[in-house]
Amino acid sequence: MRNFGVKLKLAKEFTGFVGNSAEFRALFEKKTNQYHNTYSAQDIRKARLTLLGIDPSLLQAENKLPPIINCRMAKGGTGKTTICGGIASALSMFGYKVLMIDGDPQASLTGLFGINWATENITHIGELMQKFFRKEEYDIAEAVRPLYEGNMLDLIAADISLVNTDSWLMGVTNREFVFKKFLDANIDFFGQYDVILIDSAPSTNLLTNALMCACEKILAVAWLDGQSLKAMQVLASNVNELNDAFHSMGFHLDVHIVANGYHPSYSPCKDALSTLISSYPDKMNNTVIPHAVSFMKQVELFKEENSGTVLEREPNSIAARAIIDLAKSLVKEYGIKLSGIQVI
Amino acid sequence: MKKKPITVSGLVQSGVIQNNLDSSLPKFKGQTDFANTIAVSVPLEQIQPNPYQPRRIFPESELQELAASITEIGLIQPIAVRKVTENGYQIIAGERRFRAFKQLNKTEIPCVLFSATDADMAVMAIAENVSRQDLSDYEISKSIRQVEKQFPSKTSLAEALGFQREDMYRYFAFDALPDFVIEKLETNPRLLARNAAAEIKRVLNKTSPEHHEFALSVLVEALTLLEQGEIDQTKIAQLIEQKIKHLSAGENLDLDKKKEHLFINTKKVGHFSLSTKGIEVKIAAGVLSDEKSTTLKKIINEFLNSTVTE
Repeated sequence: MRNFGVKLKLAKEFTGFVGNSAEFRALFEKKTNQYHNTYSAQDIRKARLTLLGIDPSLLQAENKLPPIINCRMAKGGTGKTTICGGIASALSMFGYKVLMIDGDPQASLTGLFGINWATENITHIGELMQKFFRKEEYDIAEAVRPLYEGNMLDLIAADISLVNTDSWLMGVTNREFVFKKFLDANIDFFGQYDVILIDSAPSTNLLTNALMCACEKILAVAWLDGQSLKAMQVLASNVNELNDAFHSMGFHLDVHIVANGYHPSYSPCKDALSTLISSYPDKMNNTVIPHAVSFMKQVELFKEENSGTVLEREPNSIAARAIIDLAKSLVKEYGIKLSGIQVI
Repeated sequence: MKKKPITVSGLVQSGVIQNNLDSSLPKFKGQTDFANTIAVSVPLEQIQPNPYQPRRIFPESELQELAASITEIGLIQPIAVRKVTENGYQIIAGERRFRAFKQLNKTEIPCVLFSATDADMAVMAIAENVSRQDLSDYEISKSIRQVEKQFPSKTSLAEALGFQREDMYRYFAFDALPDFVIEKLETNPRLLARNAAAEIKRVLNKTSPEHHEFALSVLVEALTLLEQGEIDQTKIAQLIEQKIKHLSAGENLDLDKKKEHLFINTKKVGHFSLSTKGIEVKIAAGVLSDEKSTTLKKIINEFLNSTVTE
């Protein structure tokens, strides 16, 4: 469990509170009247619900799948994991209950939160799906690792054995919709979250296809250089192929694009961004993630205290600000709701 | 100083990046790009024509030809329909084929199902027919009027139909024509094209109220001539304009030009003409000396001023 909270200013922003600080502090029990209080994701959720006049204890989970944000790009190193983990922690700090699924055998998302996949006993999403289809016993709740208190940020971690899922999928009928079926069958569990985030592998394989086929809109993370733009071609043909194949079933996968790694003194960044916006004017997120030093600081692997997202480590940096802005826009783009309540 | 977050819109606005390059990246296809190509048979009685269908005339001979070809080789292309009720379909494209099937007393027709909104229906019906170029301008104008309210603005309407905005306004000109013209167009939609209609509208609009009746009578006359093929439709507006001018000048069209040549001995050196545009005196170069020209100018000036004082 990670002990992360934000200070007053950000807490007020995340809650959407406009009154003075004393009034804000009064929303919380136990907190002393000090400036250096920190506010956890759970605190902020409670405060938001209180402000809406809803008793959190009376809320029931909806029997409906929440929106799914699948961070995807047909190339490695474009920032899928950084953005997936970043917006996951931001959305959680906005008060939404977030489930992350590490869908990459490289397990970078798992590593981002300081979990040592080499030594820990990990039940990954492939294993869960496999057990479900073989009608073996499985317990998703046990596989989930709580990161923020109160199930505000949970993770289904991955390790290298997730590569085996691909060979298993090979023999499964209607394999593209295995993950979707698994979610639907466990709607009681997945319905308790407000949003599900998936960190996908760069490769185009059976597992990434299955993870995409449960979504309505993938979040394509484009690094602003020439090579990354070439990867858009692979992604487009992948998405178009799935759409072509399953159109008659009423399936359609859309794409939302976020540009990552913008540096004002690199002209190729500007060229790449110009090409992107010209090619996909109605698919681009307005936030551009900068090539900021905060993203690049060496994080010590497998030490919980030295790991974490940029929002956790440097909440006031320009990098964290970009992630917060992106997360805010995604709330609208994906229709993320607070326990089934649409907050305007 | 607090750094501003970087946004796509901000970068475009400040001109750092461009959003109008030739896009080179492959497109993600939209939902409408994937046609459901499986045809189903739908009973004819469940199908209604497209309410936005602009085509008014389905010539019997053509239908018979189509029906004959259908009996011989079958229907090559299924018609496109959308579902409107549980057992009700509307034709998006293929009303002629549908009518031919009816004529053949068939009970069912192969259809491809599409999902379409009212605006889509309208645009598809118009676009299909316009591109085939066998629809008259008047029919197009009527169908545009019919679908106009489906669109927030005239610009977006023009965009959806793939028209230039000015061109679309020419289609709208039919509306401003007098009832007797519309009556004729209803039976013979090819009588006037949009350019002629726009010209007539322009002339009628600028005609002063006291000449309006007269202008209409000229128009009636012109239409009769047009039907007899004795005048080109593009000349109608011009004709009205001219007749009104002569009317206000109190003259007849036949008196248009009275041109009298001026001679020195038997050599033509110029002319004197009187028309609705005014009086024109032309004298060839070199005939008058500088002195004589000055005198002539003086005489004209004096003459003009004396007419004013009278």
